[in-house]
Amino acid sequence: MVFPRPAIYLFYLVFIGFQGLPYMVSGQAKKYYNGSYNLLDYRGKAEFYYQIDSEDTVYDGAFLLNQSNIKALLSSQGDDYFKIKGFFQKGMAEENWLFEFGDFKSDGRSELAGNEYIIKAKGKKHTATGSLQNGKAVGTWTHSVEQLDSSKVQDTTFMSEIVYEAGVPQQSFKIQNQNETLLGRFLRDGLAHDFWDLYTDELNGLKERWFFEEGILREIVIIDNQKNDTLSVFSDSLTNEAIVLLDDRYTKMLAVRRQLKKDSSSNLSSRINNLLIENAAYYQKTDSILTKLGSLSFMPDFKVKVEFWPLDKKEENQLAQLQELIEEVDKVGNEISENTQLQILKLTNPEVSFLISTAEAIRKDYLSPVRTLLVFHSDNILNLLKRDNQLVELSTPRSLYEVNVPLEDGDQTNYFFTELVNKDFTGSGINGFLEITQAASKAIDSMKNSLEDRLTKQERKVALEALEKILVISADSLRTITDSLALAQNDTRISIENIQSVMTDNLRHYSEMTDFLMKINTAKQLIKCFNGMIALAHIVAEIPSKRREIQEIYTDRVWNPFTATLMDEEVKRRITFAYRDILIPAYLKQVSTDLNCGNSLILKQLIEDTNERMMQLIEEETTKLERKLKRKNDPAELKQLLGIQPMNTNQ
Amino acid sequence: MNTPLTYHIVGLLLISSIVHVNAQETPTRPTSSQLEEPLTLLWINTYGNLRLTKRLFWVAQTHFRFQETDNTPFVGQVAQLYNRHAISYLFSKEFNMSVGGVLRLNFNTSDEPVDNSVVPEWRIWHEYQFAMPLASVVVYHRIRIEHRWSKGFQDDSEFIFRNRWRYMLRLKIPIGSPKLSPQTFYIGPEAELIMQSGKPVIDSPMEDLRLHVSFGYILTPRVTVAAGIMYSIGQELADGDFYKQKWTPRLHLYFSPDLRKVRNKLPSIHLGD
Repeated sequence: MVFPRPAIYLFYLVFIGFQGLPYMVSGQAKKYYNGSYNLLDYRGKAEFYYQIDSEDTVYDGAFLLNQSNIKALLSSQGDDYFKIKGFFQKGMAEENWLFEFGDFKSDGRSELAGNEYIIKAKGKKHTATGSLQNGKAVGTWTHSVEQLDSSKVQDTTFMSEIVYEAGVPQQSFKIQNQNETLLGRFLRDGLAHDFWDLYTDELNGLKERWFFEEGILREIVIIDNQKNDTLSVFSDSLTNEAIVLLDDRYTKMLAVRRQLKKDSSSNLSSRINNLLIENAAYYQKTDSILTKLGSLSFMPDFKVKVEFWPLDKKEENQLAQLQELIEEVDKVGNEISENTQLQILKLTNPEVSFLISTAEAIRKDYLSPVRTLLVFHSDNILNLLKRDNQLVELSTPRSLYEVNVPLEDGDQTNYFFTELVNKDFTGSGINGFLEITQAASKAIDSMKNSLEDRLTKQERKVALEALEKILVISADSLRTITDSLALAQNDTRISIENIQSVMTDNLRHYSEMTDFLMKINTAKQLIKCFNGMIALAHIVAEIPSKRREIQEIYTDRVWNPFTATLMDEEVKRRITFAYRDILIPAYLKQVSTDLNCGNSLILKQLIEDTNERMMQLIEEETTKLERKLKRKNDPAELKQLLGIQPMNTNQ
Repeated sequence: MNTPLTYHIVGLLLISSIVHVNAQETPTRPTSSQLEEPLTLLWINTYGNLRLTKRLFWVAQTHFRFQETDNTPFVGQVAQLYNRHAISYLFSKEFNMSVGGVLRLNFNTSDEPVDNSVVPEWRIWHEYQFAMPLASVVVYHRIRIEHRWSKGFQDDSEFIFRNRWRYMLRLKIPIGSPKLSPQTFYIGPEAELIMQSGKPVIDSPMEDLRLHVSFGYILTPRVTVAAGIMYSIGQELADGDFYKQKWTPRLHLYFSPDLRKVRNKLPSIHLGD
């Protein structure tokens, strides 16, 4: 069959264009996907069947997502290999699953076998296998981490084998790493039971034993050189029993309980705990993938029993209050510690230094138990601890609180919270924390106020100094300007001299002031005033030239045929008269006799506006206006007639 | 005071008889010239110079000339009404030229009975004026040439034609000001020699020598007033032996409105400077 050429091109275009993209083959209900696929951080090639259920992709059938890159393997970077293979039934993970995560590099060697190149991999491989039923683990799940060299397993660095029944761990389990093995068992309901023993490869390898009775951890035995260190945990029967997971929260609770018992002989660096944490991390990896794919979570839910004292409403409120108070205290504390001016002041002022140090100490030291309490709360273990005297004893700080601050002339000691000294916090629970935090917050607030007072004074002093610097600069420049402008021998000289003398008067008045606040305000005003006067001086000094300019504009050059000369003729003479002979002299007089900070800018603006208006009037038809101007000599009236806007005095 | 008038009339009457006498006998040559008694006159002169365009002006002058009578010196009677018009072209600040006509009404000023008390006199004239600024003074040279048709008061008198050749040297000297400008006084001395030629002119080519000094005030570039006194001397047409003399106080009003629209004024203010 011969295709017409365009059809061939079209075929190529469609075929080549879609080759790299996933193409889907639709079954009757299921669809098949084969193409590149992203899942969390796993980016690879996928093959799977799926359905669309109200715009959601529901995996249904075999699933495979993997990635291996020979180029990356051969490079120095190495290949992040992975393979996720399993089966879904209507979105639920079913049947056998395999997870492989590798971090491989090539050792550079390859061989040809049966016409295939074989490249030997070197690196770490995490493999997880097991079965799922309705998304829940069944049978044995194995996680192993192997070290490979030349594609051969050199070492198994981790291995966990746990048997599940409908997602609940059963029977005995084994978790081991390079040289430790944890053996333990569960009841059918997943509660930890009996001995959980940790062995090492050494002779007499039992190193640690946790003893559970139906989920209740009775004791922890740490065996070191045949010397047993027994830590009893829940020795009595539990009054308020609850089942929780054997997880981070549980081990934290254990640590706090031991702290409360003032059992400092051993910190809980339990090897069993460490192995459990390691195991949980591997499970986390597979769990996140399955959860992302829409199946159920299947973390190994090791269950234990604990004492549970739920927080009541009052306690919740108190905790919320505590949280708020601590935040407030920290805010105020930061304001104090981050204020650069205070930090500078601290160097020279012992009192300031003392206050800052004290506030810091109260915040960081005195309140540290409160912070601990809040950490318990945020870790959700407060409800696993009885808020009894023990807790209060641990967390209540010394009631008599002293702060020592080393100063140049000997240390200074102050005592705080004396009112709390004899207070009995027994049975007060969280309220005791609240009380001391409130007291601390109050103390820090008052320190802040006291510091602020000093700071304000200091700040003001600095501000005034800065202001005065500017004031001096503007006064100097005003003086320089008026000195030079007053050299002009014309009618503006007296006015300009008066600008300078008004400035001098103002400065003298300012220097006689003693009130600090008033000085600051006056300095600000004077800076503004002097700047205004500088502007005014310039405008006044420009009057002669401006007058000439306006005179010129208002002058026509007229040809006089009888003299055969061009003659200057003033036009709109009533306007120029008003300007030259009434208004400008009036302004100059005001500047020279009636100048103050308040009107300097107004006068400046008035002169400017008048000049500006004169420039406009030459262009305008003014016959009527000129008639009105006849015999008018009052500046105010003339301003109005000429349309010079009286300036807004608020400006 | 009658004598010059009498001579004048006699002179006019003699014109025909001289021609007649010439044909018949050789005249006797007088041994000296005769200076007549001065006449007193008053001239009120208006000078209009109306700007039409950038370079064209309409010159419009009206002079009222009075003359003494037996009883009244200077202003006893109207002697002439004088209407001079021209179009003036401004070449530059230094030179302008005018061409135009004059209609002058001559009134009979003699006691003799005449047929007409007023007769017209026509002129065509052209003028060339040079202005030369010299420090604060401006010096003017004016050449004016007139072609003049005049006649007597009798019904039967014919128009006679003469050419007038006029040269005037004039100064305008500002007083108390570095230049001629508004609100400035000035002194304007003038000397003009008027020569004439033509068939009727036999032995009187010097019609007039006018020495005039005026004192003026420039009100604005457009209005100037001046007053002056003029002495003039010239030969009688009919008899060159006789020299007329005149003393004339003169009043001058100069006005030069600009008839252009405002829009056109501005660019032409600076005349070539």
